[in-house]
Amino acid sequence: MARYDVAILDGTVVVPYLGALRCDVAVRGGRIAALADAIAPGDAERVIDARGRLVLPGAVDSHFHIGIYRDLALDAESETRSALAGGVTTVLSYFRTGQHYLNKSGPYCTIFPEVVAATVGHAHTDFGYHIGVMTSAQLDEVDWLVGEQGVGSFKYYMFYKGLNLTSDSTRGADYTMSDVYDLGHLYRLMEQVAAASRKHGARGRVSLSLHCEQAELIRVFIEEVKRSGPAGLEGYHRSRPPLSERLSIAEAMVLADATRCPVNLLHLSSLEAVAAGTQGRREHPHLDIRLETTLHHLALTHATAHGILGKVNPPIRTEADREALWQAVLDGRIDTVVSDHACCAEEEKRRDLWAALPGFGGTALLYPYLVSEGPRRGLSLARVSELASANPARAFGLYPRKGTIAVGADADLVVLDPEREQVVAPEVLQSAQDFTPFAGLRVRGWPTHTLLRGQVVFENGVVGGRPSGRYLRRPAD
Amino acid sequence: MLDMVIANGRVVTPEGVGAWDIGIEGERIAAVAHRGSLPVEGVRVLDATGKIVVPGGIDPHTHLAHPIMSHPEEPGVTLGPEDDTRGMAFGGTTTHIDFCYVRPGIEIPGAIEQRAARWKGNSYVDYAFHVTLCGALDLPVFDAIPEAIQAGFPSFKVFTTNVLPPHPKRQGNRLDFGRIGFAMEKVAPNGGLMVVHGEDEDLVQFNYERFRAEGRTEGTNLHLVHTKLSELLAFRRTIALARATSSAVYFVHTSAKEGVETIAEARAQGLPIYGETLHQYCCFNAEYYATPRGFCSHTYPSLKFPEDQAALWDGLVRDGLSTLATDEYPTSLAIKLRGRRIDDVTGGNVGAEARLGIAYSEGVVKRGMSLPRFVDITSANAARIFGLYPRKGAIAPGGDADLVLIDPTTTKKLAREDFHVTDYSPWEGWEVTGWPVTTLLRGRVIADAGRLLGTTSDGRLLTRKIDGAILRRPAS
Repeated sequence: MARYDVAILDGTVVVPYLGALRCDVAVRGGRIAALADAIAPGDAERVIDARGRLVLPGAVDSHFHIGIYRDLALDAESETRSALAGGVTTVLSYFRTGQHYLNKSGPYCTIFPEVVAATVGHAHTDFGYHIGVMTSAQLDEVDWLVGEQGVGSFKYYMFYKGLNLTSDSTRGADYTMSDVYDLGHLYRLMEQVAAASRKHGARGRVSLSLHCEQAELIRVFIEEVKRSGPAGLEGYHRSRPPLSERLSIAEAMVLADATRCPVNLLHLSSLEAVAAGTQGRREHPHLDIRLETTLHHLALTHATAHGILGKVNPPIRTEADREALWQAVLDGRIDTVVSDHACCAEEEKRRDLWAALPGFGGTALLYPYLVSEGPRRGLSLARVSELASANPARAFGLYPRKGTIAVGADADLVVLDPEREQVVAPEVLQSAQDFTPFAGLRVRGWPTHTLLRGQVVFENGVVGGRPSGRYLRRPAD
Repeated sequence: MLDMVIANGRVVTPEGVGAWDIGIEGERIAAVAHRGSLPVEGVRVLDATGKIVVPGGIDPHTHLAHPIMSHPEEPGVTLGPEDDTRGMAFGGTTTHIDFCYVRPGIEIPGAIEQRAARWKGNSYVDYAFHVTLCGALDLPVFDAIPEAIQAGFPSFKVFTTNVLPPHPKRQGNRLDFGRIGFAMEKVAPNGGLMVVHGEDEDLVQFNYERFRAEGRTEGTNLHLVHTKLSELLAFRRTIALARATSSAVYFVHTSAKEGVETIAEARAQGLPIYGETLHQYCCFNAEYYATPRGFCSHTYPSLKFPEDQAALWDGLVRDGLSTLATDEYPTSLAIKLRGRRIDDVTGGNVGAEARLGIAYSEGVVKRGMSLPRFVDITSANAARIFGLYPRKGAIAPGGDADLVLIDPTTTKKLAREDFHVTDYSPWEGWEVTGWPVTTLLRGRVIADAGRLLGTTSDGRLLTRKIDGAILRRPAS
């Protein structure tokens, strides 16, 4: 009997925080069994030749929206398939009560098991959930969600107190189905998360994620853009300006300081947002603050994102903002890069600017875009693996089981051909989405194999086998 | 084909702690694998049952074979690498970084050449050098900086203070802030890093003057001469200069809460600032000066107060400080205790042999420091910051097989015979739980169970290259 189940030979192994090593990787029983200079091919049932290729830890896409606009099980099936095609092996998805998703409100003690049940058997990747706490009654469920359900991270949307999702109504409460969803609610939520962090934090990080945009400011800027333009995606950018991100980050920092709540500032989209996040860290060095940006904010501008197809919150911005985000990625101020994947049909986009659904998919581009664009800007491969895999795994209580290539870790591995070039088109991404604002982008560096816990689940451009993703409890047991 | 397998240990790798075996081929680690999975026929097996296996320690701050000028009328020299690195071999430090002093009249390449020659064939463990820039150096001297970085000497030490009062027979250490800024301008764009002894010269010299005038010259006042405020001022001034020149800075021997906080604040701003502290600063405070052997634990700047000890431990255990070093300065006990006044107590320390053991016992056992963090502060961070990673500082395939086995069950009261460098250790009488028992340098066992198996020809000169990420952001 062979010593190993799988051996990946002759590749360049990219280990977060360590660097790129020339070594072989052996897998047994779903976990990494050895890293060695040379593993004899006869020692493994199956050998993958990685000569000239990179071996990366499976990406942890920590910002995802399974089931926001479609049936949850259906969406889990198609969108985690897209994830595997890009080397993502763990998806951490946001869920909340209110409109979209399951289109209802109520206690998580009944709704959350329903969400997990609808995903199990349909997800091709391992998965976990962050939970939006939308009502005052749900505040009391935070400790239960952490302790009993393995939900180690929560979310607050700072703009829903006076705005719906698409930006065509200021009646946020109709959309969220909340009794109360203001800064007072955020304060109480931070208290709950901080308490859960003190109680459960020894097993892994417990935190609150924040969508930082400010509804009252957006209200007046929307009025201004409606009155005097500009039209299209630039108008959308102007209607939800960086100033709104900056103000809501400042508000959040004050409350995080008062409650000592660990926070994640999500999808920072602009120079001002990164500056505000950096300032928060400077003023509160004792606080645990992580900064996230997205693929689309790094890759696109309002001029290149195919008009209304690129509508997303916060908006895609200017070239100067894009460059500032890259600079923050390079100098280490940004901790994680995510897709914010939300599968959306083109017909839902082809509406009036204010009524079109925001968001789109991009998970299949997470590694390809970073491997393609990062090194030419001076980002090392190890840093690529930190931004897309190790840092999100650490931020959300999965490390080192996920997020690295180490003996004993889950054998979530990506073999990537750094020379393979493809022009992005919807079919390349293998998602149910029928368009992509990334269309036409020339990307060099695509996975040839993706392994989930030692099983080859993506190979030769095809996702094989039945969905085998497992629910991940965080912090880990 | 493997030459050796270290089996059955608890291994601390960059990704965590596990029950893994390590395969060694020649001088390098060839494999890290599940327990029992490496082929062992015909291979030497080192049984590490019950032991913790960590990367060999890196002490980034030593002064061996260094002039002793605390008594300028009777100058001396600290013990050389042939003596001090014996203690490192026993104590689990497999790499140290010493200094090449460049004073007026000396050029950078000559200083490096001379120190490298002094070490060659005289060190039990591997070694590297920082370049120290001292005094009123002619500006053309700085032109050699890019070349020195290219040659593998990318870290430049400066003093913001002369440390001691002026004396006709003692050359000052201080580089003025103009020249520090000038050095930064040459160092930063060429891939180098600044190493800074930060104390405010005006405060220190004024305090000497004042304490002499007031007749308070007993050495027990050292912490009131080399003060917390002096550290705060010098760190802040240095960081402002570093920001202006986009320079990365490593502060040696952080001694005060104010120093820790200043570093944390700069790092929170994304600046590439790193802090070192010393085990004696963590374990002793200024009250200790009044005890019979109190000055054994003195190093300039000075021991401080309990609140500073708490901040230093917090910086090590949790976050904020990057390394635990020694400021190694080995002498006999007679020399170490020769001075009793604020201006003639011999500074420095003989502490490299005890460094890993004290960090384990005081950090891991007493204060709950994680094992990965222990490795970070004793080895990996120094390797990252000074450009030796991942060849040194990590247990991973391809790295040098510098490994240390710690026996966590050892409990003892340290005694004179636990040490192998000179006639004393400041750590005599200290109770410890856990102690290094076996040391490997590049695949060879150089110390095991109290026996020295290596020789002074084992150590090699290491040239270094610092990763760009370290120079751009607080990456370690």
